[in-house]
Amino acid sequence: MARERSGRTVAHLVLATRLKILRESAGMSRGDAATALGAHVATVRRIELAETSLDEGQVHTLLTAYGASADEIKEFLGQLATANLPGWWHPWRSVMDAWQLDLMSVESAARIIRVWEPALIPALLRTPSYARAVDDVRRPDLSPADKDRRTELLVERQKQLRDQHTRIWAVMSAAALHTSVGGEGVMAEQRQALRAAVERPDVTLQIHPLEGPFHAMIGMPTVTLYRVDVPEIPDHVVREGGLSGAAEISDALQVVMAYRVLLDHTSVIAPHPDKSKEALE
Amino acid sequence: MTEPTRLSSQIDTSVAHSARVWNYWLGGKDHYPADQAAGDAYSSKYPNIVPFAGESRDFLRRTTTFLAKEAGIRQFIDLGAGLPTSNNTHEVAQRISPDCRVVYLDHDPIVLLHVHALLTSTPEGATAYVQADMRDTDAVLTGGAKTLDMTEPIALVISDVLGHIVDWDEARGLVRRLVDRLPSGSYLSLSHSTAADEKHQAVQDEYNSSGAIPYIFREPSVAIELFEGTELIEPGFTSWPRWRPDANTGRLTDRAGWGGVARIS
Repeated sequence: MARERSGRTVAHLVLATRLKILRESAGMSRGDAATALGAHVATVRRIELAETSLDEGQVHTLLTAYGASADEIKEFLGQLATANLPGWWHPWRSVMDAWQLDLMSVESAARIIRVWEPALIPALLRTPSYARAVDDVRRPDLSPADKDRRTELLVERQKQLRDQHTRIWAVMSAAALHTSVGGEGVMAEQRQALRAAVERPDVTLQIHPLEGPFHAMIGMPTVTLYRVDVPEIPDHVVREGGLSGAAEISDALQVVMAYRVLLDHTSVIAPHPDKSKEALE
Repeated sequence: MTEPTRLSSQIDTSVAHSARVWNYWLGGKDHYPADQAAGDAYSSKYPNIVPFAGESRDFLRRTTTFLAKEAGIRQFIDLGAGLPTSNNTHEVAQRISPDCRVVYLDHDPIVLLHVHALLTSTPEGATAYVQADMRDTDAVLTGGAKTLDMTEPIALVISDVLGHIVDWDEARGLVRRLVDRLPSGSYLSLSHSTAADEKHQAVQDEYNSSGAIPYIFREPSVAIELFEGTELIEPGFTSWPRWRPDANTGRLTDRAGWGGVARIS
């Protein structure tokens, strides 16, 4: 089970850790940073350990001292603003699966999300109409209004991940391209969206052909691995496939590691990401 | 189409792999049980290996900073890149100048896919990933040429990987062949591990006999020959913490790793 953490804690930790890395990269000591800040060295220490809230002015001063560009500073402050808005997904709480609710703070701070998707287009790459068509079939338990809300949330998640430069590394079976979800129009739009996705630097997509060789994830349901760039936060693995959106979550080191070995094997057996474009033509 | 038989033989995860053992020592999360076991076995007998791994990365950070900032280099080839951690070559270089172009080269397909997924470039610059054996000079240069202008200065970064080339003449030959084909004004940034003491050597011998790809220590007086035909810049070939240290440089007294930066004319 994922540890309960508030959104702020994970996002805050990530930013604090990034500040430390940027300082080290600039070849500056905590003392140097404290001088730039006009504060005591203990203040810098607390900032980097996320023991104190991040003040926009202080962050700006530190990043400037570390030689960050105007763009970098702008991006960092944007993320800080988001981190200070805990639980942006709260308006959608009532339509979220339990596991998703547990993991949203991790997802919102993830550096990379790795996915194995056996039969459909990976959720994070779905168009709204494709996603809605999936729910229409898979979730007879939900009302049309709830399904609309879930589609809205997916669009928000995709936007959020894109804004925070989370990398998405997905391996999917070409079965998804041969399964008509929502009809011809929906599929055509989805294919177009995938063609656009593979051009994005933050997306790595591998498409395993139907006649391709056996690999470690064949026969497994959707598996997602979340990685946050903070040593204290372990990787989280979600294995979906239960009824009504149920899933198993684990952040136990041995479990996560075992899935990582399988994902790595699979990604080597699957065609290289550079081949995806032609597979989508 | 992929060739499963060939690939499967390349991804034996039951034995330690240096890129992942290093990832473990550096506090990363991309290692397997075999790597953790090998890393723990090593550090339990030789605890300094953990700070040494950090020093090696920090040497890479400082030299890359020097190359981008003071030498004005905008193109890099990182030979034997390894698994991504923090302050990867292009991140350091592009923070100084966003238009830097970096080619990562490794022979391990898993390592390269991780690099591909994680190490994305600034819009102004470029990153690329080439799968090749570093001994294959033509493959290294052809791979580099897809992203770099091979007539403009290039920094060749060889961060602590030549110990994997067990044959000394081969190691020296591969550096020489690459250096000879880089344009004038290019740089060689190279580091190499050495035995800090007998205990360190004994632990490394044990690691090397475990089935992992071995890494051979070389004496600094020998390793310096890798710079033949180049002009070492100050402070020359020296232990990692002594090469232009800054506020974050470790202060270990043992000398387990040496490195230098040299100009190619």
